[in-house]
Amino acid sequence: MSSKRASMMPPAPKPPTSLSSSLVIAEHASLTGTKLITLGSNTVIHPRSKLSSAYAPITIGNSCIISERSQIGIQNEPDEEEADPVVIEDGVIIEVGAVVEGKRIGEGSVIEVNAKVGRGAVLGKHCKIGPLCEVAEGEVLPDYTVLFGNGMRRIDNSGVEDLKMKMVARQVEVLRKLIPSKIAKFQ
Amino acid sequence: MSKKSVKGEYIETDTGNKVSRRSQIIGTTNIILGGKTVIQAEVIIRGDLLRTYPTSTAGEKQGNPVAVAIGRYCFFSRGCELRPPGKLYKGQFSHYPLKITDHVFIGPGSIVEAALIGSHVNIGANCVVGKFAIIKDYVRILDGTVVPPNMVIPSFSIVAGRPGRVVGEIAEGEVDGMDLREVYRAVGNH
Amino acid sequence: MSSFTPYTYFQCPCTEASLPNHRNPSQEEPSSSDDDRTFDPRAPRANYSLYPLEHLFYCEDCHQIRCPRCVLDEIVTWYCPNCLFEVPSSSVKAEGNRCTRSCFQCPVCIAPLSVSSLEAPPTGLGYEYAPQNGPFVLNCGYCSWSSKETGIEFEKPNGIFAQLARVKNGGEPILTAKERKKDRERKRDFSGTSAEKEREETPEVEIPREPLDPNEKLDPESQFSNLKAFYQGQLAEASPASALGFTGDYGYGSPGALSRIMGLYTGSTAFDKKVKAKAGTMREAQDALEGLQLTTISEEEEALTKLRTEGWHCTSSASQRAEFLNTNAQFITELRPVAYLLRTKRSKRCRTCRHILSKPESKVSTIRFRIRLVALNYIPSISIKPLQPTSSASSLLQPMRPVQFLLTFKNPLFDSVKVTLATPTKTPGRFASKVTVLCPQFEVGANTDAWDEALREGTGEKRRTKAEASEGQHQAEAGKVWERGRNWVSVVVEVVPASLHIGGPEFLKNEEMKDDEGPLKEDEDVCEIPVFVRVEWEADAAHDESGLGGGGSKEKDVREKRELAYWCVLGVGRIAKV
Repeated sequence: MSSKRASMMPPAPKPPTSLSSSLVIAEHASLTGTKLITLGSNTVIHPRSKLSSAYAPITIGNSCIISERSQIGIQNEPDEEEADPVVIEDGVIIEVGAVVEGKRIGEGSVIEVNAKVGRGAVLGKHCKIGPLCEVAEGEVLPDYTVLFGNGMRRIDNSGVEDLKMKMVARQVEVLRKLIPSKIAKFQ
Repeated sequence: MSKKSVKGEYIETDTGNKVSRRSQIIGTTNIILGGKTVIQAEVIIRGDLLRTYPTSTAGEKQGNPVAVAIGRYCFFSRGCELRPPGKLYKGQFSHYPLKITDHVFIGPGSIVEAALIGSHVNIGANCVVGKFAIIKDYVRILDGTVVPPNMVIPSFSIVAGRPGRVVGEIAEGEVDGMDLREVYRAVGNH
Repeated sequence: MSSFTPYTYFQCPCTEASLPNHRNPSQEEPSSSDDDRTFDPRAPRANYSLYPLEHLFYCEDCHQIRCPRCVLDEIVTWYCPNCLFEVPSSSVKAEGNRCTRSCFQCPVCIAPLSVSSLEAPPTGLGYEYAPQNGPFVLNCGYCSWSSKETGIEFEKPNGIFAQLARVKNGGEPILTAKERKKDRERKRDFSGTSAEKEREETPEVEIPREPLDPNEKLDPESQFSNLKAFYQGQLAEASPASALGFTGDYGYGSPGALSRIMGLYTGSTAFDKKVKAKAGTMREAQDALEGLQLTTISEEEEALTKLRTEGWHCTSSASQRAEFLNTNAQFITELRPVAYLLRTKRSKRCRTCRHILSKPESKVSTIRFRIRLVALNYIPSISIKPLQPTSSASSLLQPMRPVQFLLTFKNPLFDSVKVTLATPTKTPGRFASKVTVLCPQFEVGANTDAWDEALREGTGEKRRTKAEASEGQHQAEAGKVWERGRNWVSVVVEVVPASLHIGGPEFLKNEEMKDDEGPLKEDEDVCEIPVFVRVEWEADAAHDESGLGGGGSKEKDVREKRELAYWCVLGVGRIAKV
């Protein structure tokens, strides 16, 4: 089905990539743009996720999970000449439909379903952006910030981040079995 | 574009399912459709996220593994997604099947990671149904609701808010209107 | 704002019935002339009597519409909305209306809490059989709150309610009500003064702890139980004879006391005076053991310093406090998991005749109804649709430009019904739109077997619609039904929307406009049409009209005339502002 659809459009030029050999990237993931996309080891890119480096490079660390329909990278042409590159640190989970344009997503953070991280925003470590929540452009969130509800926020003091990081690693192991990786298609 | 007008928007199966050609169904072999179910364009169903945790009883082993089971007369609007939920259980991460019973309507853009959705459930547009939520029969979830993970919604509830909470009850007379047979019949293959 | 779905609300006559009593005598008029009065959907009271058809019942004994305001609710079953376990009414009375298992809501965001272990999951061979080890905490999957933050951990993953009742925020044990009672009793037996109390020992209680301190800081539950015990004691002392049934309880439960309370407003009886004379002097609580809590300055200062160091974020919000039973919880660290409130399954009775209108199966898991007399099955539903498909550009009604709407009446009865419609020529309110029903009288066919429809639909109706299409613009004619089906009829209603212009020439204004020339109020631009609907039909005599009542009298073939009349409100659209 998809091969037919692809034939209707001229093939988009592949962006330059630096992919780890232990990366899991689904065939129907989409990498577009002209700037460098770096994907770390043991990271999982779900089908139908969109990484666009048209306006700024993207760097994703190790053991991250990028879910379907999420959009990573600067989405629109920046006003200034140069947009900040999008950096996602290790062990970050980007859930379904999230839009991430932030400058830095700290280690172990979770961006939940349909959440948005605005351009230039900086998230500390182990932050959690709840479903449908938004981080404004250029906003800086300290470590362990949790955004939930209609713009409510708190600092998570439960201290279970090690456990959560372990869970991400386990999840990656499982997804590796379930999602056939097509690294060659994107190199 | 001419191809579409010849073929029509939907592929109709033997059991009367109408599946849009523009839907994005992954892992079709692990998905059960009960029949007379409509799947609109851009709907994602993640049949590939199978249960990896070993089942305790040997009896369940036979047959195809199921990631998403859907009953009859369901309606999945444009751009919604069905995704089996995953969790860490006894040190092992695994996805678990998503079961949807009959007459379930899911509005456009809603993302569902429930464990179970009962019959005659109406989920509005742009909702997020959290992991392992259990929604019983005759429940209405209003537009833009975020049902938190692990929430159990009893029958005859109206749920709204972020996080979702029960805000009302389905009146006795509303029960008949939640049948989706008419909705199914109204879907033409244009 | 941009989208408007036409609606139909039905007025329940229950508010109407009480109206004559409230009306002032000068307006006194015979009830028959009530028909002349136009129902005003904008009246402040109208909100309380208008319902969608789905929310209404129909009482078969009174032959009348019943709304949620004129039915009586009776609880059939209590259950926890989280674990869906049925709770017997006896334990609701004894333990309160909250789940006493492990169902809790997050005190921060009200999402459900789940139990999880703090230990790293076991690994290695046979890990799946290894039991998960404690300590356990309650976790919120939505806002990541954890009971660990307030210092609460559990030994077992089940029976959280009982475990939580024994631990304070911060991990200190709580004396349960029972233990407190024991202590109190012992104290009373000892009959010591408060100075002596401090030295008293509590040997056989399992947890070693200090003797009760009269200035102890109590949690709300214990304070309540202390207070309750204190006043119970006071009451018992005040009426030691207990001849009137005043036992250890508050004294409200006894029939004597009840009749006294009932008699409070109907005039005093001799009995009443007797009670008054009896009430001796009661003292108030004096220390923590009796439920008195003194606020100390140091506490206030502590709170102030906490505010200063941790700031606004450490305080609890009003909604969080409302959810939580202890309204004194100023800080987030004082909040505790909230046990789920129980939910009920209820049956409904007619307030007038006590006939059951709705009765669900008592089991929590079943969704069936034993009895369900909903108005939907008795009175014709009305749906509204614009006759000319409006251009998508604006769904607003253009002022002064006539629009036609199609009202479709669908008959749920197994007898054909005669419908008569009446509308005021102008809608009530400041902006009076003109309304004309082109066909105010018609008959709607019976709701016969659905197969008939299926068979007929293939031929008759299809042909007609086709004929229409070829005819082109089909003109709505006065006195004629627009379209007719097996058990439905469509008629046309023409509306000339009013102009929302406020400062017009004087002669164009109606009375209300002259009274109030203020700016447009909320929803005043919605065009709402009051319609008086009278439905007449012939039903089998006795109880089973329409056969829905089930069985009944077979031998009677007497037909009985039935009539039902009620107001409806049709919301047809918003008028464009110019």
